Amino acid sequence: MTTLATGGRRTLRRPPDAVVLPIVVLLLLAAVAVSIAVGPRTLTFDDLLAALTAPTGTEADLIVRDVRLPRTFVGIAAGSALAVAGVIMQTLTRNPLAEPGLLGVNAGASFAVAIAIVVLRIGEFGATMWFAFLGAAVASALVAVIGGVGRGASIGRLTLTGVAIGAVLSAATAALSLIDPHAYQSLRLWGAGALGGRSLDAAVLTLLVVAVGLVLVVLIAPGLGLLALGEDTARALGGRIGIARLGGFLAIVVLCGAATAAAGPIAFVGLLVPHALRAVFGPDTRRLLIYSALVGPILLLLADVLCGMLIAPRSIPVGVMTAFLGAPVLVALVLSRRVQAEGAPS
Amino acid sequence: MRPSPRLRAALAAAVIVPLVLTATACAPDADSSSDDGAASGDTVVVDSVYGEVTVPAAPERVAAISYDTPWQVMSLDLPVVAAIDYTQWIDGYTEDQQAYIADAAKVGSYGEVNFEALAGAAPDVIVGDAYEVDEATFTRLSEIAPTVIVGGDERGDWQSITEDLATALGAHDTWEEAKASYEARRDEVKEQYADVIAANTWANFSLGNEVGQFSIQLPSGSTGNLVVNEMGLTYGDGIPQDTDDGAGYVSLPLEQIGTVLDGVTVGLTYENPDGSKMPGIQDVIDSSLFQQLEIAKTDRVYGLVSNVTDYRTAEEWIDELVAKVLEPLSQ
Repeated sequence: MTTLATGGRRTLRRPPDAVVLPIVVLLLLAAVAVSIAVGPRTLTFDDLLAALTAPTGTEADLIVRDVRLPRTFVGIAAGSALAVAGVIMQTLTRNPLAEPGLLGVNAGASFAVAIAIVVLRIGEFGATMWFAFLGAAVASALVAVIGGVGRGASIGRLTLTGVAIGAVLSAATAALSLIDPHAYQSLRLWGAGALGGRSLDAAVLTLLVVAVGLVLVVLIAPGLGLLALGEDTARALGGRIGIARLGGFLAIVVLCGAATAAAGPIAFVGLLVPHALRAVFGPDTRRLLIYSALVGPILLLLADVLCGMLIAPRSIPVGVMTAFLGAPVLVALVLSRRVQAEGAPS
Repeated sequence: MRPSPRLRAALAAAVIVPLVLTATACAPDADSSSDDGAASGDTVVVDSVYGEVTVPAAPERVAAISYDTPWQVMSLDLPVVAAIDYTQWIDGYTEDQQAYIADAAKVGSYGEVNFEALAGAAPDVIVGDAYEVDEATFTRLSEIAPTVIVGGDERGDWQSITEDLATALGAHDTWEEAKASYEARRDEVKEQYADVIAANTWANFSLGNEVGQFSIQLPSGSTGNLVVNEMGLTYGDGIPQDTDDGAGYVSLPLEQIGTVLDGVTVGLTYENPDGSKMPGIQDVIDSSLFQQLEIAKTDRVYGLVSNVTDYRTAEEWIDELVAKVLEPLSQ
């Protein structure tokens, strides 16, 4: 990114997609390769190749196909889902701090998973994933109905409602987990936020669901782009606000539901990626959505690899790592923007 | 269901590992019992992790506020008037254990003492574990009643921990009886099943701290201590011997399970009283990487229910090991 002097002001020249997009795609492919190749057990290139192309049931094959591939697929799906959902939520709420936890989505998914485990005794991933969807949907709808309609509806009220309902559901989840140590154990492991421990089938299912969510995002992207300009402007430009909002909510539910069900609640990806990309590419919502879908997985996969390397042979939850990575980057972004603002000519 | 030592260790690791570094001071020293206390007839001075404490020579209202401590006090044949709330795990305890704490005041949850409730129980001595009670908490507890915090050399050092508790509570004779009984049983089993013990390589595994991980008891863990140091069972070469975090176990990524359990011929793990296993443990066992291990192929994975906290429960563990593992393997 370079700067240009224009009439005494320094403005940023955004990098062209023709240059950046292939680079980002290559970075994503590299992150995927690293995620599959690097792990606690050192595997040779031949091991990896054989596991991916002609598995015969060796230990290396099992490691690649039953541990690393599902982990990588979940990382791709959750990274894309959380980052894109972050862009949508920040656009819909016009709140720069919006992320999948803000509208009660994660709390709703967690509560539904707790219900499945504690009350219905369902522990199988494929089933809990649908509960996570349902919980995310119900919580989002509840927030939308209470905070987004009627007289006095405002973005602030919507956000406040999301925080309140999220807090209530989180407390209810904690209470449920205390009722039953089985559930406590399962929810403790699930709640740490991790990419591992899923079967290949479950990981592929997660990818497919996230893909459906991303298709929905593509369909509503123009409307979201207009919404980003503000409701009045969007209406003046002929935007169909209601459809964009409804589609946005649906996309958030699908994306966050899938990501949370597969990897547990992972913080900061939905907050960090959009902000970092906005600093590079500017406020263009459609670009933010495209690059978020690519950069989210890069961040999550590399964070996961780091989790396994820093205190090897042990590891730390990827949710902890994203927080470690996210917090300083966000602080740096805030400071750099303040410096820019203070240094800008009046 | 009672949380397994693994679960408790995991909880402890999350809550109190930072405290471990500050809690490695010397444990109570039986030799340091004060002559002054003896002379007065009703108090004695004992060393604890956080310094000397004057306690009643024959306490009548003992509050045991760490997770394992009530059972360690129970092994000394003393009652407790207060303990943390075990409601959520109560079904996993034996009838004797349930009866033992039935009338005790509930004074908080794991790692979080309810000081007001504890004061309401009017204890004349409070005992706990340094891995769950830091010095600041000790100071607050000491305002309620004389407080003895024990630590041992490591988290799984139930031998030292129970001895220190016995010293602090004036129950050393009972402790020595339990110790002698345990040692006799241990030596008897070691001799009777020497061939089986020597012919196999052992491991004690459980669920990990995260999904996609498993854990291994170290010789410094309560059961690892029992396996390796007391029973003299040989651990597999790939099993870590120690870590520096004091947790007594290590949680590792599942893809390392082949390396860690390489050559192991008998796998021990935890199970519930009804014979089921915690979902996290079952996930480890069901994983394809575990199923390709020798212990899975030969069906030599055994779940044990006993939770080792003291000499009596350690003896129960050995009895269970004999019935479920050593006897079948010897035939």
